[in-house]
Amino acid sequence: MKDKIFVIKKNLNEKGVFLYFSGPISQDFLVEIGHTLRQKMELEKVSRSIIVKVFSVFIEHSQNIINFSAEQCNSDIEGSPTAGIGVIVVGFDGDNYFVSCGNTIHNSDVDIFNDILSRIKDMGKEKLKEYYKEELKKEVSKKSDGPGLSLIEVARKSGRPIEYKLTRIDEKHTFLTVKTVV
Amino acid sequence: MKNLKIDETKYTPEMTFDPETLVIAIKGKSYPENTEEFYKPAFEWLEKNLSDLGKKGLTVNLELIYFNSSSSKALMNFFDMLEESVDNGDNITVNWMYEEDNESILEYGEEFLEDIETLPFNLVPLKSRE
Repeated sequence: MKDKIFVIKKNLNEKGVFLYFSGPISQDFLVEIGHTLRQKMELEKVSRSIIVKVFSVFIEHSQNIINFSAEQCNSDIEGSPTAGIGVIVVGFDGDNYFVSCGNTIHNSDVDIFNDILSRIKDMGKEKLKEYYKEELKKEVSKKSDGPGLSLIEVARKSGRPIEYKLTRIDEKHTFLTVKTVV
Repeated sequence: MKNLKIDETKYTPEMTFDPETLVIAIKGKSYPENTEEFYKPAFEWLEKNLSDLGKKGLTVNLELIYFNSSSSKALMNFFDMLEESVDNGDNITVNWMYEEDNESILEYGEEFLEDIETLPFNLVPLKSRE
């Protein structure tokens, strides 16, 4: 028998991936894994500013999966924890840290994500800052929580333009992947 | 006037709103699952008490080491509220404290400062823990 888990681990390690998770992501999960991620990087004497950036991108992506994944795993009981199903990956490619995430979204949300991601993809540092401020004011006034502010925040922490892909699954769902290199 | 004290958790800051010392202190990390719900008691307390405290001279000490994007909305709301008070003649000072090697927090402080017009807002460096 071929050890499939070993093969998966070996493939991931070859790409520099040191953290891989696929499944339900909850607030408790991201708090604990986020803490472990920080500890690991501190032990490796990574600079404070890089740790803060990787941590920040990890948190924003994970909370976006909780809030916007079309695959949810929650009970009807009020106040019970919610979890969104998705994938989160953290690695080091030899030069830079990267954080990738993937989750299913509703086709009705595709335009919202595509609009924001296509705008921020080509923005420089100053443009992103202006867009962030603009979006912050907009969201404060309308009191709603779209993915906008969070995605701009991710792009601001990224040292390179973010990469993203929208892959249509069926007439209701699309898979969204975002890669950030810190 | 009652004080408000909320203990720190792994992902929410310690908050102390003290009408005796006239100091509001918020310290720690902020990335709750539901930011609006978490900060609701703080905003309710402010709505009730801010104008009284502002007249006496209020100091707001913020010592955040990390906050997520939805917490920055809460901060923005908070500063808007304080600035409105200042515009009505109240005396309020904000101290935005940052550890010297935590550039992100300094940058956020600078950005808030860019958009603030009348609220006294100081950027205060702290020695790093390491």
